[in-house]
Amino acid sequence: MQLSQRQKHLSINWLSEMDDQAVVQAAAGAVAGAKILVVDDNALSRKKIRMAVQNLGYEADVAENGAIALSMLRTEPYDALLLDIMMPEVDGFDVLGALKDDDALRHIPVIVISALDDETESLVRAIELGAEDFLPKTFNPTILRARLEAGLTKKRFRDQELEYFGRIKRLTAAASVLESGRFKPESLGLDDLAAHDDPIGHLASMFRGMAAEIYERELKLKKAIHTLQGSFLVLAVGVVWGLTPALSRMASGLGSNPLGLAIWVNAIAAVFCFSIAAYRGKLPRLGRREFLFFLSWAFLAGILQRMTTFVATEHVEASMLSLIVTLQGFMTFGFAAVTRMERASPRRMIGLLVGLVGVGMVLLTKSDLSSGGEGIWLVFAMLLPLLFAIESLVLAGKRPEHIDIFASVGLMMGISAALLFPFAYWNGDLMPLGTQIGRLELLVVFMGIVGSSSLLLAFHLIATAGAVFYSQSAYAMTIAGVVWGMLLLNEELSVFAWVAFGVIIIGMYLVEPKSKNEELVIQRTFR
Amino acid sequence: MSDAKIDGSAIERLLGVIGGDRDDLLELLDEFFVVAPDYLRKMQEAALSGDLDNLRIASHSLKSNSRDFGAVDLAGLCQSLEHACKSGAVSDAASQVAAIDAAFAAAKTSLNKLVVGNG
Repeated sequence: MQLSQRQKHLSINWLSEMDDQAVVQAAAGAVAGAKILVVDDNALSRKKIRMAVQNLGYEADVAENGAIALSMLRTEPYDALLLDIMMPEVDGFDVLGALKDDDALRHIPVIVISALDDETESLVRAIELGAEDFLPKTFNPTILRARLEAGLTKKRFRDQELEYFGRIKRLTAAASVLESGRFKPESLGLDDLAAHDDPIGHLASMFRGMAAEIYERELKLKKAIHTLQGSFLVLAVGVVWGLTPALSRMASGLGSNPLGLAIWVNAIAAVFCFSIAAYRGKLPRLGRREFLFFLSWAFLAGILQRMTTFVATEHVEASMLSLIVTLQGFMTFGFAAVTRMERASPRRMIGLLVGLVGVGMVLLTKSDLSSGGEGIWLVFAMLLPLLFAIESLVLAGKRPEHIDIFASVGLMMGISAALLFPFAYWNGDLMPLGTQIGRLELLVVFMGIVGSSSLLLAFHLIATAGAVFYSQSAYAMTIAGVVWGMLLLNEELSVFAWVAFGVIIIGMYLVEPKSKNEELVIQRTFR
Repeated sequence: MSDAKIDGSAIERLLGVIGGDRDDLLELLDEFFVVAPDYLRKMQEAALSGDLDNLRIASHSLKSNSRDFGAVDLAGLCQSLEHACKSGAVSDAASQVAAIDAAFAAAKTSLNKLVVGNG
């Protein structure tokens, strides 16, 4: 007879009168959320235990043998296991042994199901293998609930303990990160831990907060040092560059011509740089791409910039030209902002303007800018800052970084001398130096060293502080020109000019070098 | 066929264990009537081949299921055979299995009368 037919005949009196107290008690003790795996090869027992477990409010899955049970335990999380011992093939003992050997599963409470007839030995063995408790085959719900709750409570404590130790472990790991000098709050990985509203959460929050405070402080300090170093380099570049016009005038006085002098200066600078590169064991091997880069750079710096300077100095007053050259900063800033090579902030823009005001103030004390030159030549002169800006951006973004800095400058200078040679030859400007080492020869060698040094400094500055910050060397160059004039020609400067120098320094502070992406590592001794 | 002795309190306990749902109880009884003949067949095969291990396991399983439904005589016979298998001293296994088969038939009749109301 089918089940549906039988239901109509369910008639025994004692069944309707039965005491439901046990059922009610069992339901009252249900713990929602726990997931139990029932393992029994006997289909009827399996079904009975699953119903009993579900009746207590737990979620229940079933497995008909030990092998299936182990596979399920390894793919899904279970809070407890109700395990029959006597099963064919993989029996309950095998399952217990496998759980014991598995770090991830050994803490799942196992309650073995036993008929208790002469099975004492089996029970002892099961408990020795890690079973928490046992359940008679003919159990009542109260016993089942008591056994399960005991096991689940134990597991909950164990889980909490594991979670607690896991959090302590993460705090310890964060301490190790701090010890290695990495104070950046994100590298501590404590964000979610600090979100807990408990003692460990508070500790993590405090830990992270203190690290953040130190990191910010050190970051500011490093930035200040970086700016200071950059400013020093800008001044150094300016001072060395600023020396060139004075030395050129001295060389001119000794009978040199500009083009011939440029060839000698560049050639000596190339020899000087290559010698250092060779001493460092870093002579370059050039591919086609690298050679084209250095050829372009030499054409830009050695031919275009030099020719433009020659023509501009003939038509534009020197002070006005100095002022025009300082536009390099704004042009570099504009290009860098458009190409996103560097951060374009209002602060940096204001810094460049402040610097320009400073240069203007210096020049006002020196010259009458109103007679600087005719309009068309002023526009032509603006080619100079444009060429300088392009050069600095190309160096910042395109230079082959694997080629040594000395070798790079040497290559550019050498190619530049070679490019100028035909022009000088054609113009009859080649300048043979005497076989005797006289004043001019010494001056030419000195100019070669000065020229290469200023380029090396510029190169280093662009690499460390960025093209925009480097562009301020135009300000420094103008100042240096004035200072060298003071030293060489005994000119005097007014207090107003000194104030102007201060204004330029403020401008540099505002522009600040480009920030590096690398994480700050703070050296600390904790022990 | 004579009626078997059924322990009503066992059925009451089983109903309590599964939450008092009578449909579930009938589903379990159906399952019992399906699995018990399977165990009996395994026992007969094991008795014929002298496979005491399988005979013991099948006896053990049928014993547990019989107890759930209060089939006292059937459970007792299964327990005796299981013990005998465990000790290795089984005398006339085939006739013991035949006795268990008869006890199951009687228990089935009684359970049908008692639980379902047939007969």
